[in-house]
Amino acid sequence: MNNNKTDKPFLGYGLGLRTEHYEEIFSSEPPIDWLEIISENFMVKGGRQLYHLDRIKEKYPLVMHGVSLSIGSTDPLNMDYLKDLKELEKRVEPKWISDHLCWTTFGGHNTHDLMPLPYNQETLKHVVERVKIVQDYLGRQILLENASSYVTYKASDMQEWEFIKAIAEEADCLMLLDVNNIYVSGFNHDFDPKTYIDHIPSERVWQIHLAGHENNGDFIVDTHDHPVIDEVWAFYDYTLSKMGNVTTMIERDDHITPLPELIKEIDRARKIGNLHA
Amino acid sequence: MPVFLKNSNDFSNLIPAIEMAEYEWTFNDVFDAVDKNAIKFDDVATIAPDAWTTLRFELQPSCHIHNHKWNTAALWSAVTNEEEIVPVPEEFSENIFCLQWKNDLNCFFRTMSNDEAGALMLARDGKAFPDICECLYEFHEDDATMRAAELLKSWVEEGLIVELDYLKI
Repeated sequence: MNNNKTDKPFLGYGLGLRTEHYEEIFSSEPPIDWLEIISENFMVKGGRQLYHLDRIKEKYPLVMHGVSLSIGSTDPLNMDYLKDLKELEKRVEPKWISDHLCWTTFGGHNTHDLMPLPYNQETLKHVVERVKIVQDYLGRQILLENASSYVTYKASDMQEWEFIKAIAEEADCLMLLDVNNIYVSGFNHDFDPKTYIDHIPSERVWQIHLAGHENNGDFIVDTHDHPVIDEVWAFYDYTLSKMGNVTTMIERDDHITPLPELIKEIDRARKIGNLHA
Repeated sequence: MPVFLKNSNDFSNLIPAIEMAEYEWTFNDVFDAVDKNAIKFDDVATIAPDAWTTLRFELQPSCHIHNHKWNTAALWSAVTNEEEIVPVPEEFSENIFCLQWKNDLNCFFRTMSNDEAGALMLARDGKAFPDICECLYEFHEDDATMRAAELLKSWVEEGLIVELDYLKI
């Protein structure tokens, strides 16, 4: 599995699909280039979610974004989960599949949170092996997203950007860069977000997430419940200046606003992206 | 959740809460179950008289039957609909059967009489129509066949049956 910059697809400017917007999407087919679905919401046998999904698939290109792969866990890979994921992939025919560079399970229990990893060689080897297994099973490269974090480990001896770069290159996987998460982690851990971007191999970055957050003064929480702030827009601009245009989407998970408000943010991303096309 | 409650020292004796949790959890399964098209009355009308002796039913994959000791369905409805007055948990003198299922993407639930529950469980377990009539004979004696026909009509109306299996005669 090898990529070069020339075969990196560009889907345009998209949105994370949320049930609150189904009716508007069906009735007005808003000007959104593509949609990202949360894989787990559709890993079911039937019901309204799949019914709507089949209709949406006819109108928009889709990508699948998971939250339960738990690629960094020391638990065995959940092959039942991967089987369901592959089954959904057949139905959705997504442009790509992504999940997070984190761990969510431990001892068979799900934390329902994206927990950070210690950045060191031992973790690197562990995650790379698991990414390869997942990619072999799915028969395609996956995208891994940088999660935001609020704690660091004494066991870490690498920077996050060194770790994620090494994962991508050694496992030959792709990257979903959440520039808001980089901004959040940069604030929480006192590093310059631009340094992060400067070390990322742009040819592996196939998608960007943009989202809002909650600033609590001395720490920021990646809440996805506000509009993207100006500093993150500026950071997005910087990111594209280093990487060229990248498929981008607005991710809103709480305080879901009407679609026109989110489309304004999509259009703002489009304007910035066009500057780097 | 139901398993947690059953195994918890603090909640294992709260039977109404366990029944409520099972009931609520089952709705998730009903909602996400495989979607199948229900049969129509015309499908039943075309069964040859002699074929009824071999007739078996396939129910909606979403079909769940509960056996409640408490007024769980009423409690669940009141809580779910955020009604001002929620009934007091009440233990029945004899168990009540509740049915949950999905048809055409809509979820349904209702209580069932004991004779219907017995008949529907036999249908669910793949027993033939004569077995169902025999079960109903215990409740209705000579009117058992009539009652079976009545139940079959309501099951078809409610979209509970997705397949009829019988020898084509």
